[in-house]
This record gives sequence, structure tokens and C-alpha cells, in this order.
Amino acid sequence: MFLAIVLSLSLIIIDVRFSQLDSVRNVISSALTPVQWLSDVPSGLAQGIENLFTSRESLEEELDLMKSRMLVLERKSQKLASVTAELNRLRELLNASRVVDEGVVVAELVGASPDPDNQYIIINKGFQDGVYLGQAVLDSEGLMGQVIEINEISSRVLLLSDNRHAVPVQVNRNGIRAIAYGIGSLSYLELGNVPDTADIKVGDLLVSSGLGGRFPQGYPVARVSAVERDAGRTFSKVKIIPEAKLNRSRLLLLVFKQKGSVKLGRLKGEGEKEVEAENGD
Amino acid sequence: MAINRLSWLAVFLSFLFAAILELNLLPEIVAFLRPEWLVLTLIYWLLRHPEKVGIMMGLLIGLVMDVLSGSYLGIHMLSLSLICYLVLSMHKRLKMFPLGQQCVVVFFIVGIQLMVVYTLRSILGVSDVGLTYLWQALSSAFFWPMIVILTDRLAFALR
Repeated sequence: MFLAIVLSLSLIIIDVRFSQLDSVRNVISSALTPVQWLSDVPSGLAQGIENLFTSRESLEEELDLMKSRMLVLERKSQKLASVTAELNRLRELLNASRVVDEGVVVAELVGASPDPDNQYIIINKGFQDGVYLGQAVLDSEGLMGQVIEINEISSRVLLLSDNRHAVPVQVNRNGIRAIAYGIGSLSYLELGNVPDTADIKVGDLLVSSGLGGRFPQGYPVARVSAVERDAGRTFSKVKIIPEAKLNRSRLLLLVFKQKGSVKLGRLKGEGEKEVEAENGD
Repeated sequence: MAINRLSWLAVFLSFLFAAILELNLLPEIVAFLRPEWLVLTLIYWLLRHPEKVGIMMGLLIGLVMDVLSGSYLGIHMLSLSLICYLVLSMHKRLKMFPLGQQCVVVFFIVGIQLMVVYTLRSILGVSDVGLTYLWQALSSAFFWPMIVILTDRLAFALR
């Protein structure tokens, strides 16, 4: 009994302070992947049955809708190439570095956290797909979170809404910088470090500012829903609603930083150590 | 009951089923009531076969719980080995209790286990939930008879 307590306490201390136990965790987590998969079966089954009963007509309607949406998006991306080129020419004039585009990989949600104090999701891409620690994950609307644990064929992603999470953001309209903190709720985040006199109003779009090196710049994070100004306090209390559907999106994107960028050297293998070394500088 | 042969397959299957239940998502409104399925199953096996299932099993299940929930390794191991010790030290009396009284004791045991886990989490800065974990202990005690009946059947079928 005493031995068990000593063993557990020492494991906690080792895991908190050092990263030696991560390989142990990876092995056990990989072994437990079937359990994760089995727990997702009920919802997968429900979806499968729902698909069985969908009429051909509604499927054709959905297909037409997708095609027209794709056409609109393709037009937008046609302009993107020339706009990026123009942006790079302007930046060269100012002797600034070129804008680097990121690669994306599509992943699927295979599990979510049952614990509201620890908000994460499990996705079906892992070590073998080149996922690295701290990698940004988006859905079609905006930023979702970052990868905190990698197994062979699955990874754990910490959501924006978790208590421990914070994203550096800026207001799209005027560039004011702040930090979006998770407060444990899927519907609201809190914006911190906003001075009382800052020009920020309800409806403003917040995008990731790229400061801090974790999240790439320019992806939508949230929209301001309430601003509470109190003349007595230095900072205002701003409530924001995340753009991404944190608890409903099934198809997600993993963003890969290109080799030309400052923070990451290699994508596979020692991704973890690379990030740690970078952050230690 | 102690003279029955222990089927490790039944142990494995019951824990597998409990782990699947544990990972199952509840709607946000009732998420604070999720029972500790793995802990309940552990207590069941400790009562039925105290000579074969001991603190080692507690450590193992604790490790599984730590990995599944992504928390620091050792938090659940510590709390489960603690309640293993508690249950084993009073298993003779606990076995004699009627099911209702067992529920009350289970409430306290699961309450202690959750208290240790959440206190450690607060210290380590992971989350701070005050006393809301008592609802979880309550729902765990509520589902104790179901676990007993179902796992009894499983153990009987695989003896």
C-alpha cells in the first residue's frame, strides 16, 4: 500500500516535471485506441442509420448545393493567387519577409471529452501522418485548438474553450491585440488584456495574430458578443463567441507550417523536441 | 461467493465495458452527473475476490484512467490505490451489507476517490471545480446496484 502511494506520487512528479513518461503514455494510449473507437460506435451507428433513410432526392439537392458553393469558393481562390503575389511584391518593397502559405490535411473527429473541465477531442491522424505537438487545428469556420498528445494513428487536440487554453488574437478591423482565454464553456471565451479605452465593439471579428509562434496568422477565432466597460477598472471585460463549431464539427483541418518558416525544422519524428528547443530559445 | 473461480475474461470484459461507458458523451446539461464506471467495477471485483484482485489492479486501472483522460500519470493511480486499500480493509463487513447500505458506502468511497483526483488537479493547476464532484459520487452510488447485477451475471456466465 505504502509502495503504491510512493510509486504513484513519484510518477506524478516525473510526469509533471519531465517528459520521460511520454513514450509510456504513447504506448498505452495506442493500445487503448480500440476502446476509444468502440466508444464512438453508438454515434457512428446512429449516423449510419440516418444515412440509410436519406432519400435520393435530398442527397441530389445537397450535391447541387455543394457544387455551387464550391464554384463560389473557387472564384475566391482564383483571386487569391494574384493577391498573394501582389502582397509579396509590396512586402519586398518594404524589405519585409515573404508570406508563406500553409499546407493542410483533413482529419476526422473520432472522440470527444466526456469531462467538461478537460475539453479535448480525438482526431484520426497521428505520428504516421506527420502531426506535431502544438499543431493548429481548424474547422471550416475557424480555429479549433492545438494538438497536445500524439499517438500512432490518433491525436488529442485541446480546444480553445478549455480552461488552460489561450490564443493571441487581433481585431480584424483595426489590429488591436489581445488574448482569447478559454473559460471552460463551449459557447463563450473571454478576451483578456483589453484596455478600457480600446476601440472594440460588438460584432468585431477576431483573428489569430500569429504572435507566440503556435497558431498561424490570420485564421478567424471568434466574434465579440459583449463589451463591459467600467471606468474604475483598467481593462474591459469582453465576451466572445468562437467561430468554429467546437462541439459539432466532424471534419477538421490540420495546418502544417512550411519548411521555410521560422519555427519548425522537420515535420516527422522529433517534432516534439524541435518545438521544445524552439520555445526554449 | 468466494469459492467461485475467478474468470479473468469476465474481469477484462467488465472493465472494457466500463471504459466504453466512461468515454461515452453525455449532453452538456447532465455532464456533471457522469458516474465513475471504472471505479464501480473495481470496487465490485474487490468485494467479490479480495484475495486475487488487489492494489495492483487499482494501480493498473488507475493508469488506464490517467491515459484515457489525458491527465498526468499517477493521479488516478494514487486515488484508486487509496480506495483499494479502504475497500479491502472493510470488505468482510461491506459484503454483509444490504444493497442499499452498500450504495451509501460506495457514495463515500467514490467521493473520496474524486476528492483526491480533483484536489491534485487543482494543485497542479489543471482545473478547479469546488465540490461539484459530489454529484458524480451520487450518480455512481445510484448505479452501483446495476453494476453488481450485470457483472454478477457476466461472472456467472463465464465462471
